[in-house]
Amino acid sequence: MLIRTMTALTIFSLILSQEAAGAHGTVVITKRSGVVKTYEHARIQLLSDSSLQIAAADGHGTLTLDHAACTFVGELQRCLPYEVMIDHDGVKHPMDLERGTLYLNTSDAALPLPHSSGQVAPHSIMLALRTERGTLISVTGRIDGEPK
Amino acid sequence: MRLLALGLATTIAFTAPLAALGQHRPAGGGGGGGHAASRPAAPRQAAPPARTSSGFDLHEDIRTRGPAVPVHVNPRAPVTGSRAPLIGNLGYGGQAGGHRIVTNPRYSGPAWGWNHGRTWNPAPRYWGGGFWGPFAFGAIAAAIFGTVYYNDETLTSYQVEPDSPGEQLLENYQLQQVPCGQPDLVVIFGPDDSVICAQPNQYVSPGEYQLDPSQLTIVAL
Repeated sequence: MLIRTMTALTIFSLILSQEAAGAHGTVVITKRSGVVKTYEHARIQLLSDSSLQIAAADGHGTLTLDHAACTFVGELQRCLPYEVMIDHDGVKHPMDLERGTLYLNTSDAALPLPHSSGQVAPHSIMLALRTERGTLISVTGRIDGEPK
Repeated sequence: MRLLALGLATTIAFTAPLAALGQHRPAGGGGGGGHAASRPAAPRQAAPPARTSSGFDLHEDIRTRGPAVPVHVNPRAPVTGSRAPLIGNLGYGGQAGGHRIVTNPRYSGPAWGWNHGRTWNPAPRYWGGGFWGPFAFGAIAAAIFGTVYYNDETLTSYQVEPDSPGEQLLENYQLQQVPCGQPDLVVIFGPDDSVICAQPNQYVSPGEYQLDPSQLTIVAL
């Protein structure tokens, strides 16, 4: 019985690890001090309540944007978030956000960024946030989950 | 007990390398790096490394005081922002509480149809809620476009940003924004105590107007 449980646990852990490795987001956090931390394989999800979640690959942290003023630039959605939550191990905290912009492309084609030669890939996001302490958070990557 | 230890060891042995692959890569140049995986490896480690924070390193950016969303209280009567009821879906060419609605010459769809059917709510941290452009308070880089003195208060106007809903409004009415402060202008009060001014034209005569963002329409005050 114990062996079966451990085997199941092993398989479950393997699946979790592989799922994390399959996630497509990159989060870069730049502190005011200049320290840069990069987090690969973050999981980007659009939820049915229109919020956006970015989960760390280690499963211990999630950024949630659930309040934003969104308009469209052509087919590209541009949002000005004003409420961002950080979830550390199941405990949610509001962040001291100063400002930020989110570009969201839910179409099947790459879309040009306004006033830029850059593009946002299909089903991808580009997010930049600045906190009141001067921390810069940038997120790019493909959306791993969208509501049906 | 031995079985349990064996099982745990197997689990760790299988998952640790994959989990490390799924973790972070060291940041180039800026120092730091993600977590334990990105720290320089010590040649000999006598004791296990101290556990660094897991998840995103944003602990110091957590709000520690009251509501961070600024509230701009303005005794001015016009309905603006999310604190006062915006003029709702009133139809076209009609009256809004005795005020004349100036029909949008280009857009006549359903409420919020101009925004792909999605409700637009002002973002409290941005001038005009972000309607005229993504201008965050304290970091507005847009050109100042004059001021409006209204009810003992001076309101600063800024240049409307391309690709903003405000620009769409101006385009629809074929209005050209000009600095506020001159006589006989079209003065449009927007969300969150914002104001912009434009030259009058065949669609809009000089005077004060209030924005109805649901219909992308202006209403004479």
